[in-house]
This record gives sequence, C-alpha cells and structure tokens, in this order.
Amino acid sequence: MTLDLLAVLVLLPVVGAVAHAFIPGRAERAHKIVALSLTTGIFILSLALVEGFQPVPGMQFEVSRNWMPALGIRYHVGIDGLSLWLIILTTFLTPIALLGSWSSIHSRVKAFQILMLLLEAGMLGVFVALDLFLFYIFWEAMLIPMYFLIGIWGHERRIYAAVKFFLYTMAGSALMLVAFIALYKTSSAHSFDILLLTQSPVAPSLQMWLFAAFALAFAIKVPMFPFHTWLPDAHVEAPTAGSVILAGVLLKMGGYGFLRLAFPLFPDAAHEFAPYIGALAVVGIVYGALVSLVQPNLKKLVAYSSVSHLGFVMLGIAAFNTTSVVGAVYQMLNHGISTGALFFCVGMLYDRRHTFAIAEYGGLKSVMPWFSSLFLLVCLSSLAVPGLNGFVGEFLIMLGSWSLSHSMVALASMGVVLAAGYVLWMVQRVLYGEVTHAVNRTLPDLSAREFAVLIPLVVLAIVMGVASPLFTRLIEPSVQSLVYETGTRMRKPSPPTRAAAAMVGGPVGERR
Amino acid sequence: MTPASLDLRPLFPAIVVAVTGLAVLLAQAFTPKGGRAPAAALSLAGLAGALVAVVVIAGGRGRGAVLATSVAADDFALFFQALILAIGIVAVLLSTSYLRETATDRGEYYALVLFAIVGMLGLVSALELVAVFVALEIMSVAVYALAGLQRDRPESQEAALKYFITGSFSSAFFLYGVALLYGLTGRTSLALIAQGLRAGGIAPAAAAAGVASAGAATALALVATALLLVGFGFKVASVPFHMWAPDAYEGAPTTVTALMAAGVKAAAFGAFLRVFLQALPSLAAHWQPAVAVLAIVTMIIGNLGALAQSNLKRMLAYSSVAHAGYLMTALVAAPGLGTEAILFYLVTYAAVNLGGFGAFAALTRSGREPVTLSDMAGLSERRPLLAAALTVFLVSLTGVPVSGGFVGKFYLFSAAVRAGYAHLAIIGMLMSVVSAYYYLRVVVAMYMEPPVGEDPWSRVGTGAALALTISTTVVLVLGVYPGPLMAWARAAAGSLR
Repeated sequence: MTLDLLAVLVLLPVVGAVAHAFIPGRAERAHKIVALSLTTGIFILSLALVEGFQPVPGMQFEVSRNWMPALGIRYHVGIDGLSLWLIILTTFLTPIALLGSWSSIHSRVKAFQILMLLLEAGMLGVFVALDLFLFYIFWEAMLIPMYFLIGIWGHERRIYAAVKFFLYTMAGSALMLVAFIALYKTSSAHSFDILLLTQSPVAPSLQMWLFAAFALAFAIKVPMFPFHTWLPDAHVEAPTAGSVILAGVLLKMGGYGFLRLAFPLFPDAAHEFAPYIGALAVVGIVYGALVSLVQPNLKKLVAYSSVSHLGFVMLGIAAFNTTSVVGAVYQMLNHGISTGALFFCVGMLYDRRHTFAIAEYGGLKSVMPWFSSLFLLVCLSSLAVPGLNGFVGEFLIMLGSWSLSHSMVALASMGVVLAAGYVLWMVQRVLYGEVTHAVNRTLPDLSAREFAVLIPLVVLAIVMGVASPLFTRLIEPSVQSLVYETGTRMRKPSPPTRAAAAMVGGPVGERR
Repeated sequence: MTPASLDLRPLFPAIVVAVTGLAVLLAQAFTPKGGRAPAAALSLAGLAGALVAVVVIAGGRGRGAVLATSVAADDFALFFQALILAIGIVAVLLSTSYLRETATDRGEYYALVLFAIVGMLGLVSALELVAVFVALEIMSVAVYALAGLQRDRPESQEAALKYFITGSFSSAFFLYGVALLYGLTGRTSLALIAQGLRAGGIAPAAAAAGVASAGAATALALVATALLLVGFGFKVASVPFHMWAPDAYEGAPTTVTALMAAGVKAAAFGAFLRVFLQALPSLAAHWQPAVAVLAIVTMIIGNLGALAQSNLKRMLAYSSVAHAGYLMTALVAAPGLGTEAILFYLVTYAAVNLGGFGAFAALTRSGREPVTLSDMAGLSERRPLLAAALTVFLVSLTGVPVSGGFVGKFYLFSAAVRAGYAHLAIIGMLMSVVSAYYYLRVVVAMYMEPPVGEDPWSRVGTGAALALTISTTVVLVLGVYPGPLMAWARAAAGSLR
C-alpha cells in the first residue's frame, strides 16, 4: 500500500487540532507556535504534490477505498490540474493567516488555532474529494469552523454575519444533497463516484433540475450576483484571518464546484445555462465594481471587489473553452493571493487605528513608507496591471470569452476600468495627500512579523505575473481534457452557435 | 403445548430488567428510614446484564419466536433491544446527580425507568397485536408516572396529566384498530393478518358480522389501518398527534424527557415498522401516501414550532416532532433501505437526545435548570467541555457533518429519493435549514455571548460526564465510520421482510 499523501494532508490538521486540545489554554504562545509550525510543515509537505505532479490529464495521487458499501459510498480522493494549485493556495494561506493574526487575536487563542486547523482540513478535503458524499461532508463541515471564527472573533455585528453566512451556505447546499441522491438513483453508474458519474450522462430533461440544484449551491458560494448578499457582511465582520481564508479559499470552492461537478456532470444543462451564467457574471463584475466605488469602508470595498473579481472567474467558466477556463482557474489563484494580501493590509491598518473608514486615513505614505509600497503593489496586482498576476488571469478569461459573447467581454472590460477607478481612488485617499488626522502621524510602520506576512504574497503576485507558464503548464492538460470530454458527452447534437463552439473548445492555437 | 414453546430464552432480557425493577423496589422497602438503597447501581447492573443477554441471544442461543409465536428474538428485535438497553444505561447514569439536585431521589424512579424499559423491549419484539398493546401500556403507564414524579412542580403534574390523557386516548384508537383487524381476519398475529388481508377473503367471523363484499372488507381494513396510524402517530409525536409533546417534554423531569425522546420514540418506531410492514404490506399503496403527507406536515410544523420557542426543553420537544417527520420520510420507503435508515437514524437520534437533555440535567443545581437561551450565555467559558459536547449534539440535530445526524439524515433521504419520494427529501432538507436557525441560537448563546452574573450551574457529576462522553463519542464515530452500524441495521431490517 502506497502512502496516501492526500489523506495525510487532510488528516494532519485534524491531528494537530486534537493535539491542541491537550495543551492547556493558558499557554497561548505554545498554541501559536505549534499551529504555525504545523501548518508550515503541511505547506512544505504539499509541495511534494507539485513535485510529483505530471502535466497530463487525469487524476493523480488517486486513492479509492470502500467506506459505506450500504450506500454505495467510497473514500475516493485524487487531484488534477484544477485542484492542485488550489490545494497549494490553501496550505500556503493558512500559516500566513495564522501569522497575520498572531497579535490581533487576544481571547481564546487555543480555540482559534483549533478552528483554523479544522478549517484547513475541511478546505483541503473539498479539493481532493472525488466522491460526492465525501465532497459534501467537507463542503458542509467547513461551515462550522468558519461560523465560529466569524461569530467569536468578529467585529460588532459578528453574530448576525455568522448566522447569515451559515444559513445562506447551508440553504444553498441543502438541495444539492437531494440532487446527489437523485443522481445516484438515475445514473447508470449507480455510484457517488464523481469520475464514474461523469461518464454516465443523465437524461437532458433531468439534467436541468440537477444542474440548477448544484448551481445554486455553487453560485451562493462564489458568490454570484444576486446571491452575494451574505458576503459583505461575513467579510466585514470576520477577523482578518477569517476574511483572508474566506476570500482566499472558500470563495474558490464555488468556481471549483462548477468545474469539477456541475459542468462535467450535466453537459447539456451547462450548455443551456452558460449564457445566463455569463450574463450574471458580467452583471456581478460591473455591479461589484460600482458598489466598491462608493464604499466609505475599506473592508467593504475589498469585499465588493471580490464580487467583481469572481464575476471574471464565472465568465471564464461560462465560456468553457480551454483558454477561458485556464484563465478562470488562474484568476481564482490570483484572487486568493491579491485579495488575501489586501485583507491583511486592511487588517494591519485596523490593528493600528481600529477603524475601517477610509476617511480616517490619508497621507500614510510618509508615515508608513514600507507598508505603503507593499500595499500599493498589492492594489496594483488586484486591479490587473500587466506584469502582475491579475493581468494574466483576466486577459485569458476575456480572450477565451470572446467566443461566448462579444458584448459580455466588452462589458467585463468596463469592470477592469472601474477597478482601476475604485482601487486607485482608495489608494489616493489612504496613502497620499496630507496627514489629515493627528493620530496617524505616529503610526508605526510594518513590524518584522508583518513583513513576513506580506512579502511572500507580494513575491508570489510578481512571480505569477511574469512566469505564469510555471503554473498554467500543470493546469492546462486537465482543463483541455475537461473541456473536450464535456463537449463530447453532450447528448443533443447542438446547433453551431457561438456558445456551442465554445463548449467543445477552440483550436489549440488560439491559446495565448 | 410443546416443550419448545416453553422456551423463554428470547424473553430473557426483559425478564432480567423486570426482576431488577422489582429488586429495586424491594431494596427500597428494606432500607431503613434515612438510608439509601443502591438503586442506581442495581439498575445499571440489571440493564448491563440484560444487554449481555441480548448479545448472547444474538450469538445464536435463544433466537426465534416463543409463546405461541407472539414474541420473537429476531435480528430486528435484538437490534432495538440493544439500543433500548443502552439508552436505559445512559439515562440512569444521567439521573443520579439530577435527582439529587431536584430532590426527587426516590427508589421508585429507577423501578419505573426499568418497567418502562421492559415495555419498550416487549414492544419491539412482539409479533402479535395484543402483545404489542400490552407492551405499549407497560411502557406508557410507567412513563406517565415518571413524568409526574416532581409532585411539587405544577408543570410536572400538568405534563403527566396531559401525557396520560392523550396517551390513553391514542391507546384506545390503537385498540380499536386491533379489534377491527381481528374482526376482519379472525387473527391477531401480524403474519396471519397479512395473509388474511392478502387473500382478500372474508373471515367467517367477519361474514357473520355482516361484512358481505370484498370491497367492504377493504374499507374496514383501511379504517383499521388509519386507527393504528393514529395510535402510533401519538406515540412517535407526529403532527397532528403531537400536541402533548411540548408540554410533556417541558414538564417532565429532564432525565425522563431524555428517556422519552430517545427510548419511547425508538420503541414506538420499532413497533410502527413491524406492525405496518409485517401485518399491512398489502395495504402499503394506501398507507404510504398517508404517511408521506403526515411526514410533510410533521417536518414543517415541528420545525416552525421549534422556531418560536424560547424554552429550551420545548424547543427540543418540537425538534423531536420534526425528527419524527424525517424518520417518517423513510417509513414511506420501507421496507429495505427505508427500514435500515430508520434503524440507523434512531441510534444517532437517541445519542443526541440523551446528550442534549442530559446536558441540561447535568447543569441542574438545587432545583434550578437551564431553561432559556440566556441561561446558556457564555457557557463555553464556564463549562467548555459540556458546551463542546452540546455543540456536537446540536450540529448532529441540524444534520451537518461530521456527525451521525448527517449520515443518518442522508440515509433517510436516500431511501425516500430512491423510492420515488424526492419531494419529501427536498422538504426535509429545506426544513433542516430552518432548524439550523434555532439550533444555532443555542450555539450563539454559548460561544458568542458573554456569561452574565454568578455561575449558577452545577459541576458535571461523574455519571453525567460518562453519559455525555458516551453520547458524544457515538455521534462523532457514526459521523466518520458508520459502516459497521449500517451493516447491522441492514441485517436487522432483513428480518422484517
């Protein structure tokens, strides 16, 4: 029996959480050190996945065992190009988030570390699961630690935000569970195994219903307009680490769910729904950007910018050709890095001034030069300046989506312009000009710990901007086969519309 | 009478528990005034002994039907008996400190618990309607008395009275249904009734009473089925027969509520399954839609009712109504996967309810029990372990992984969807989301609100701590590794076919 590296990755945080239970709560420093070193170790271990990963389609590091034979449920895990980098993103952000909240979490330090570890296990589980039941377990189990993180360590309206987050997400996935069972019943595979199910298509009429149930769950998670209303509350009220993980990883699960489950399982329905998803995505891009433009609250601005950025991801998924999907996956990673870093920066300001109001800042460039330069870099990466990571993703998405609809791409590019507007205006009000509040004159610049938090993110943003093939090389084969296979499994010979052409993937030469 | 029918081995668990009950009463009588009989220890020993007897019988010695095939030790009965005895053990563990703190520490408490358990054991192993009725009454009478044990609390008296009156009412319905079936087929044995109904012929007795046509016979059989449905509906607290539950659950001593929620519900569902699947399979096309409708209204009204409660015990009472609804979604899909799912779910449900009510009981000090949400405020700081355990139970009740409640709910709804009742599963899942709101309120109070004032709660006693540990472990293990219990439930469900 080979070592099941994926199981080790998922279980290590759980083991760590159990170990924490045996350290007395008063030893706060010990808790922080143990959790940080464990998650760093997990990150290093997860790099073994990149090391051993072959740039070919199909599942790797796959393990499948009997689990609940009575219900046809197996323990089946594996990764491909879609999930590989999302796993790395998770293991990368978790230790940074722990380091970032080193001194901003004052109460119940022990519980905080335990919940962060359980959250990491849940997130990794979602990305490795290849059985619907297993997927659902992790998908839902993740809610609980996040709920506590928001509800215990959040800001003033934390309870409202935590309950709203929980209920929204649970409501979304409730029907998905029924759809899972219905899929088991109707599919000829008679299994919960995702790989088997994708190979045994369901009648197109039923596909519509099942796709709708899946799409609701994922659209809430992304979140797509108009299902996004939980996000500003959750983001603003969550503690910094919670916001970072929420934006960095949890939101990616929606897009991942569409790519891993909804599209390949229900190709006909996906083809039918794709234009609507694209339209909603574009609405989200523009709407999120416009709302960001008028936000007086720094954290809310970043939250709404997420709605806009994830609109790009969904546009890429809706277009569903190799270029656009590679772009979407890449954009998910970018958003994890950039928005994660943005939330850290906002959190650092909050640690100093205990306010998110943009009007309370101004002229920080002269007071906190190091912070200001890193913050500026992060902002530029978020608004997709060429040379930084965001540009690559958004460019690929727009390039690929051209075949879905010209007007959608045109409107989406409006979002890029608006992003420049709201980000730069915010930068101007926070960093430049005169120091308008006397208290701001004495703000300390970045501490060594804060450097250690931001530097890895900024470096990665630059590397992902200039050396994207390093990453896309491993994403592409899986995406290519996903797009191709999904296209061939469509029941109806579709009329040669533009969307249909997009479904089966353009010629390979079209990429980049 | 052949010697084989004198074989009492299948009855051994019930006999052990009954004798222990008598011993507890006698021990009380022979204890000098002011002294204390070791009632709890005796009860534990008796229940454990009975559990051993169940294991031995399951090993092959003493299976089969006895007493003119009116009582059986088959896989189904043994599954339930093991569950009920485990429930009894946990309930007794919870009781000691609670009874002391509420000044109800009297020997008859344990005797009544044991007698109620005898009734439950009989209920799940009876193969014949009169035996079912007798067992039902043994159980019910004991529980009525238990509910009213705190004589100085008006709520307790109200609970006992309401439970008794509605309970007797439902027993009458049940008995009338039994009588009609007997009149129609001339039998009380489940298997023979099924035979009679399937043959469609009219028994001589019925013919003599003027039932002339097959159509009239079917109509009578349906009336009888409806009456039995009402009887069981009362016992499992399904809407619209649930009215007693909130008052009885709230008023009864909390450990008795735990026994009612876990034990009575399990035993009632056991008998419900057996009677409907073994005696009335030929009418399934008629009663399944009715049960489906009951399941829907039960899930909706139970959950909406719980939403409106501020008293924690009442909230859990309505939640227990809601869970009867979830269970009935799989009853529609029985036999087969549906039966298995119900058996599995009852185990997790019992653990969760013993744990949930047990947590309230464990906190009780000098007669004061936590009853409102504000009583729970900041509990995570005062009793971190108990709060964590209670969170596990609430998560399981909501049906969120990683918990036995999630796997169980998945099992139930799988059965419903596969039997073509997807709408039941959809309503059930949507109602689970509603339920998340009221379960989460307790978690919010425990973890996200600061504690107020002095700590009024008791330290968690050894027995209660043990009981809560058992419940938590069961819930978590079933959430991760449910395979063995599923296999066992499947074997048990097999003996109903």
